[in-house]
Amino acid sequence: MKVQMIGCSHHNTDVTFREQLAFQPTQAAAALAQMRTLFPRTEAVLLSTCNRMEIYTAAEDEADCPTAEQLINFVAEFHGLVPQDIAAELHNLSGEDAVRHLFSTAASLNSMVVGEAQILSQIKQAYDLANAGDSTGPLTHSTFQAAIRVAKRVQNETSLHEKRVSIPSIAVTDYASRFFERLDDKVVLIIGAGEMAQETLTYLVDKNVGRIVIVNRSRERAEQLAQQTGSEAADWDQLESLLTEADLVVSATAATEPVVTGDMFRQVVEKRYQRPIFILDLAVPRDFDDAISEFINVYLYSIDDMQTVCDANLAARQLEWPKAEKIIAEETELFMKVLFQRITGPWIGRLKQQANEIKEAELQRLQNKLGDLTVDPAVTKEIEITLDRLVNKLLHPPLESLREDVSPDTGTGLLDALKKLFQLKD
Amino acid sequence: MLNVIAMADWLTRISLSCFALSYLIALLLEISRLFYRVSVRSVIIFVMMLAGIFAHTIFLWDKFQADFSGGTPLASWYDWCLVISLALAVTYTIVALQRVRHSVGIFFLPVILGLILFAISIEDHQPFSAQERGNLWGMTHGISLLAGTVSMAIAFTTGLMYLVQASRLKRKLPPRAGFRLPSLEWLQVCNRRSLFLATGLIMIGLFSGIIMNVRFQNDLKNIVPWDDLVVISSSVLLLWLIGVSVFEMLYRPARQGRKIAYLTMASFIFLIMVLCVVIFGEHAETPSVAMLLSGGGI
Repeated sequence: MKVQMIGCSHHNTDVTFREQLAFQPTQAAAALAQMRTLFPRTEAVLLSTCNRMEIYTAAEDEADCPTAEQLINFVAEFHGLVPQDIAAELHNLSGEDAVRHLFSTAASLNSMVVGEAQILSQIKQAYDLANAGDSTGPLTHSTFQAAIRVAKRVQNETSLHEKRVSIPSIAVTDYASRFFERLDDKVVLIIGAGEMAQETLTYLVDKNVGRIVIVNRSRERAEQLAQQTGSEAADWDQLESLLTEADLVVSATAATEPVVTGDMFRQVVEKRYQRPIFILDLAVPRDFDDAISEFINVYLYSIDDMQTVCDANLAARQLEWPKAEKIIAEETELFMKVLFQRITGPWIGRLKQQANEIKEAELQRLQNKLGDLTVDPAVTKEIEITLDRLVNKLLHPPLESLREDVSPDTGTGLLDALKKLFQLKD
Repeated sequence: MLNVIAMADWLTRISLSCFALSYLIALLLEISRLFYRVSVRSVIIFVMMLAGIFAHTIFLWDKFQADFSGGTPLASWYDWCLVISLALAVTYTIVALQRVRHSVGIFFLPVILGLILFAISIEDHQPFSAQERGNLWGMTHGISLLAGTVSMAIAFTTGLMYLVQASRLKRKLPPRAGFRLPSLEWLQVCNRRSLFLATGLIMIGLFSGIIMNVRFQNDLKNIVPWDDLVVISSSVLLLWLIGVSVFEMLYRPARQGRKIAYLTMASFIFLIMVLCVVIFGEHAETPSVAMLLSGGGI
């Protein structure tokens, strides 16, 4: 039996390298289909996110599983790269190490933002994709299902996920809740349509905001984002009127000068009748003139104002780290034990079946030899029982040893020996 | 049967210090939030508050029964302060249940304990007269003013919380684990509603008092002179509250933010001043006023 992983992550590679190896969902499906053709007896799951590309392979028979080199060649060929150029950057884990790595990744311990929940859903998606393409099997089923369960256990038993550490999540969840009791009756204005705005939007959509308006210098980009998130786009020249209307403003443009000046905001304030407004300026350099924070009932926060909370939350998460690692270690050990015990099952069955076939054949031979001699049926029954007892007593000690000794520590040596000794075939 | 008697006897021995101590422990636990985390703290606070409310209610019920046989029940400033503090304790417990992680107790519990201490300090004051106890206007007057004071105390507490929260947010202070306050929006809504309710109730209370006084025009012994300091200060308070409410309704910038919180707090302080005039002034000691308070007017 073999479980292995080959891949790279943000820990040891830069984004340019990861971009070269990334698989879009359609590419991932095609790659899995190709792998099924190349390695028909191998189960495979392909995980490709912004921060990692990992291929998990598993096979009951180690010989059926592709080697690390074969997998590197496959990845290189798929992306039109030279294997030697990527080999040094890809790391390879097998057996217990691969399982532990998957469990840690699912529990978000290997994420760039430790504790973020997105990775678990990405792992579920990767597993579902492999399932849909018929690339999974008993080993990947049990490994990935266990990984999902372990991630949930870490989530429930530690506060690793409670403290948010990304600026947009802190802005929406921790800060907005200090201003607003509910968001379903609020107007949120998003200025800019870049990555930061996009990430903030995902949190806002989860909060069920009443109305979200995106305004961007390029209307097309704003419309695109609005379509993705079920919000609405507006023209740039509507900015002032939208500021008058908004309860919460998130600004994250790439402008080099303030987008909203003090003079412009003075007119907005007059029309707002001092209605409180919470402004999250997530842009660097800032989009809102600092003087705006002096207006009554205007709460202007920049990215630096939230960085303190980010750092504090990160420190709090670090404290939870050992607890999470302990859970991962426990679960990995248990999983490997169960997995090894599980693989001996079919061979034990096969051995018993082989012994029974010999017994039946010998019993038949005895009945043929006795020929026409009338034998009491009770005696025949007794002979059959004796043979059963003999078979069971002979098989009991080796099978018991097999059950106890096959583990991640001892490997499958005893099982292999048993297969050879009794000439057990697949 | 013996158990029931023993229980009844035990209940009659409940004193003011029982519930005051429960509230004090709850306050200390609330303050401890600022320094360290304990997972069961909220449960202990809730249990302490329930025990306090239970003891408080039994104490007032016993007093009500005792007073009822000999005069007007709960007809003294001492009783009033205890009733107001009980109403605030119940309000706080409900709010705390809905907002387990918020430090609302730090604001509510000192007001509750302050009222209990104030009650102790005026325990020897002359109770209201038993005259006119059945008078409808008198009852309306008393209950309205009592409920108005409770509502104003809530407006004061939420207004204070609003100012603290607004100040923290304006100064961009990060959220503190042991000191979380409800959202500005919630505090503003509670503050506004409590102010309106208090204005309405105090208005009813004062008008019913005027009606009482008019009804006693022919009874010189019981009448409160129109130029009495209490009548004047109460009227000014009412005008102030109406003014604040109208200002809040008509002037749009005042509807939002800190202005209304400041005005509410000023209103509460004004109310306290008027009550002090009533309690400590000569007026409260006169039979006529005592009568009016028990079932008359201020």
